Amino acid sequence: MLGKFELYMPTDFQEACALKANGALPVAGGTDVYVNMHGGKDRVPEVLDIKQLKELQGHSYTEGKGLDLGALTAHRIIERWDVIKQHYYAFFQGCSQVGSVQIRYRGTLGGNIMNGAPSADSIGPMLVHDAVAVVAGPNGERSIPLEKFYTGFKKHDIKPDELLTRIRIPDTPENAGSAYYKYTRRGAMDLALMGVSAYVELDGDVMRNVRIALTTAAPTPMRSHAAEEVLEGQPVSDDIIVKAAEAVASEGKPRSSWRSSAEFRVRLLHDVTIQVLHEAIERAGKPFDQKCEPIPERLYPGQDGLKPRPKEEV
Amino acid sequence: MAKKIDLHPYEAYHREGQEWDRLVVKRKDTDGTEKVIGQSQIRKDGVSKVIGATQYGADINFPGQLYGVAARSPHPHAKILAVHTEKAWEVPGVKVVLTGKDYPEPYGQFIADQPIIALDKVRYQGEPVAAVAAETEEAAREAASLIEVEYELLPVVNDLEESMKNETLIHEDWDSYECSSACFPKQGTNIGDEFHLEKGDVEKGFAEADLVVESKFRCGQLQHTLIETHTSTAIANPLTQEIQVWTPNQSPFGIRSLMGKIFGVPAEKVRLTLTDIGGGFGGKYEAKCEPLAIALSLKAGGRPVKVTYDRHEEFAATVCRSTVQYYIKTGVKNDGTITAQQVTGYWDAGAYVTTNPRVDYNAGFAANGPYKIPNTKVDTYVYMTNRTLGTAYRGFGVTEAATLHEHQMDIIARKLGMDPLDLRLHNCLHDGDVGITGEIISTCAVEECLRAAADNIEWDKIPDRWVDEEGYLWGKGIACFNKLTGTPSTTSCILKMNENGSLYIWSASREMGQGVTTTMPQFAAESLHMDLERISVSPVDTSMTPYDKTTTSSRSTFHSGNAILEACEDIKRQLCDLAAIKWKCDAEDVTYTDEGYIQRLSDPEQHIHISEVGQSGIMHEQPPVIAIGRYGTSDIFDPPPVEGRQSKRPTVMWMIGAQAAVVKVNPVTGRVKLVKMGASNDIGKAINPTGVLQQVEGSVIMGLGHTIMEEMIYEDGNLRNGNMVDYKVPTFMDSDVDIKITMVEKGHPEGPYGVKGIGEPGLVPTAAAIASAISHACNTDFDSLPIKPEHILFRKEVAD
Repeated sequence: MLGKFELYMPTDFQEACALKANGALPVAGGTDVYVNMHGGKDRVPEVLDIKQLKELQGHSYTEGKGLDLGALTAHRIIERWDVIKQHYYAFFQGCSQVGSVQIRYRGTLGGNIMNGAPSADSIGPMLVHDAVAVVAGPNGERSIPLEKFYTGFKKHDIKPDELLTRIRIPDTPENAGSAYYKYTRRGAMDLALMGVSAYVELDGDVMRNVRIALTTAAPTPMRSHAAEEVLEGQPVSDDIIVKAAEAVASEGKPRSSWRSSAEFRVRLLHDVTIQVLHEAIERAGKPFDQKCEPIPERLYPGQDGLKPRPKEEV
Repeated sequence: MAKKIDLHPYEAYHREGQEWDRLVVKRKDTDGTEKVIGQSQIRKDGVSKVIGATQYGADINFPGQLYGVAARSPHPHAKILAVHTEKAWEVPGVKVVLTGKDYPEPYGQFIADQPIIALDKVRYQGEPVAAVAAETEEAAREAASLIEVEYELLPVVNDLEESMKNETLIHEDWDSYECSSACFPKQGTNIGDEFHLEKGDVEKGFAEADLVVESKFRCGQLQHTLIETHTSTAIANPLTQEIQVWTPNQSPFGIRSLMGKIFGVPAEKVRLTLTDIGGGFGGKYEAKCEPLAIALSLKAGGRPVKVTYDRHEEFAATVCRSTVQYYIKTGVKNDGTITAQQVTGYWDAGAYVTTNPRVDYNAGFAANGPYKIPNTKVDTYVYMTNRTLGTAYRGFGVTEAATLHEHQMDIIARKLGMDPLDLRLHNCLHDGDVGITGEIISTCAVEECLRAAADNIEWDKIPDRWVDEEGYLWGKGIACFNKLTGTPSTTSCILKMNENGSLYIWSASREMGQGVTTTMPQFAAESLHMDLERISVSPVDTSMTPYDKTTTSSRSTFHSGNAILEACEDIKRQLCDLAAIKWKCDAEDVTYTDEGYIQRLSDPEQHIHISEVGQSGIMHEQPPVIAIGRYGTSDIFDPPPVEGRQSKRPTVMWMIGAQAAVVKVNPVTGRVKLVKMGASNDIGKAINPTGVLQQVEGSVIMGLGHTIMEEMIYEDGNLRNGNMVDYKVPTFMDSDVDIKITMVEKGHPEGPYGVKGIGEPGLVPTAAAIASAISHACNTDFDSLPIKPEHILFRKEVAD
């Protein structure tokens, strides 16, 4: 049950920062904070509702500049915004697979980042789209690349008197494509057992600015730089994609647990990376208005389980 | 090959987004022109549930109510050296703190092996070690967390294999417990019950076989995951010894006598008022919150005490479906004829016996499936471990038995090169065959069900397995079953006509989503030719409602329907008598017509329709119209003796059905999609067709979860996934299955209008059919549930 707590709902940003510095726990959608309090995981005497802060509100896209998203932007906003599907498809895929529709209406991007779960669905896509976190406090504003913003399991580069205010994501050219694959045991209301995101720009058939990120593969969402290096500047081929997948599989260090064995996770990382790269590359080759078209999966050489068996006689 | 029997033409029906049909094999007391039964009706409980007006257990509150919370053991197996309650007492608002010493008498329906609060030792993680009642739930939870217990840890019996060594005993002295005649614990072992059935000579049968096939199958441990967690509110006065409990329970009279026994008061002083049930499935058959709430209220001087479990308690400390490890050996001739079959099974029943003997018993009679088998042997054992308590789960073990025998049938079919459907048709029971207890089988429609299920996925047009252009693996599978209903059992009802001519039914058959509060009025409406709107089921209260054994075993519509039809005949007679008074004629001169008219024989112009009885004045200041209906099955029951369990009539009703599945498996990710499910159940007569379809549809999705997702995972007695995030239940997004259902109607001679049960049977073949399809798709034999993506990716394929 939800215990008793003091609730603050300031409208003044500096007041909010002071309350947070004093130990109040920020809450936006409450889809993590209140759930943990209700389940007895967290005992929080003071809660800081930040929904009134205009510094954290609003969301816009400017051609050439990209996205400027208030930390309070709900996943559902991203999911239903056409610009996202055309320019940041992986981001659409991530946000549209968070929990359920109800949770996506309440849960925010800022919350997804600050909760710090390695399984967060919006983070991998934001990492491959080179997102920047903006934090602010009494001493002004700081911009930190999202990858650097994570400093450890549920730890961030943020001071006690600072709040995450905005997320900025650069615009994408028409020759770019991205994809996210979330591996779950069921079709909704599930956490990623494993996830892979990829972003690629195509210069003819040469891959540029390749970025790959892994979800639930380490204590924080992480980039797979080794795999990016394999692909950077290389022409597209089945072989190079499989090589990148091998690099991902060796860089991700999943452990065995009752949820699944390490062997299984490594195998998934490998196979899912192939599919995600395939999808991102195919998408990069399409004009903006066709980027949201479904891209059929394809099996690559060396992928286990693909050996087609001869059809049996009926 | 079994020859195709002549089937009656299908009556096709369409519901939006759903295809289904009805196959009438045999009618009983119906001709298909009935106005109320056999017609889909709007659920009586539907509107109040949809608008949120239904009062569930936790909605009951009283002035001056206290909140009860249990302090629970973090250890799966430990001696209790001391319990310190001082700090709990210091929390403001705390009124009662109980420990095991306050109520040391153990209880149990089959064997009294379970204390309300652990006394000398704890046997599972989450077992109550103390209980607190306080003015607020917050204070109660706070106080419960401050209970300090000194434990001496004992070795943990984490699984069956460990339990079967009998090195660490969960119960050291079975003989010290009071035990019923239906439970067979074995002193000095972890065996809490055993079941043995023997027909013919299996060794002789194996010797006659051309091929002997052996396999095993394991079903994982499942939680009922009821939307409404367990809850009870009690007012128990220590001076008057009167106990009243408001609770959502499936077995009001069973719990009444159990509570009377525990608290040493006569049954009539225990009053259970039943709230609406937010999900039962067997999970609300045991006493869980009831004894805690009563004990706390007694110690609080009779103040109301409410105990509601949270989801963590629900997982760790209520009940579940036991793990079972089965072994099966079958002898077959080259033409597919089964000569003998031997089944050995081991249930992991958890820490206390609870209902496991009944699970063991029901599954034992179903272990061989609906097949002609001349020589059979079934030996099953209930083993105790330090896990949460096993109990009934929608089918009393028969679902697990079906996965076993159907898995074996698939292996036999493959080895003989036979079509899996043909092998089943070749061996399935028909009327006149001898069942595994020596019973002459009647009203058995396995063949019809198998064929209908197969047709519903176009079985003949698709191979066992194939690979599509994108590389997905496809497979089909089929499964059938038979399940008995608990016999003997009795029920009764009272039909009370109100002054305005409307009718109340008093029956303890509980509505728990299965629709019995709609089907019971349907029987009365049909019999009396009365408007269904004017008939309703009264709330259930053990101080008023007549006796009914339990709402389990898919028995309610069958048993209560019979009682209601009997009572309706009495209502008709009473109304005729009243009309005779009004018309000043002999009672014999008045009849009740098939159209619902109370009519004078000598002057047919004098008549009153049942819908006008209220206005007619015939009831005015006359003896009230009230009738009793009773039904029991003791007379037809031939008790199966403990030795061999042979019986001419082990059950009043065998339930029969089949399902056929088509699955699509992603070879890269190991994810399974259930594409199609062709279902077919012999329901005797569909009283409310929509209700039947909903039972089957719900079962298919539930069974899908059992096949590929759900399992309770323990490590050293610690439950790892006791929450709704980590214990995966299918969501709506997993439920996009093309389901086609055929309702087979082979009227049961003892069923009201021929009806048979459908509460559990929809689920029984589901996991077996889906597992079969997945095994075919992956060209392997998965021998345990759930089948997880890991199993699929790292499978060993079988040789063709």
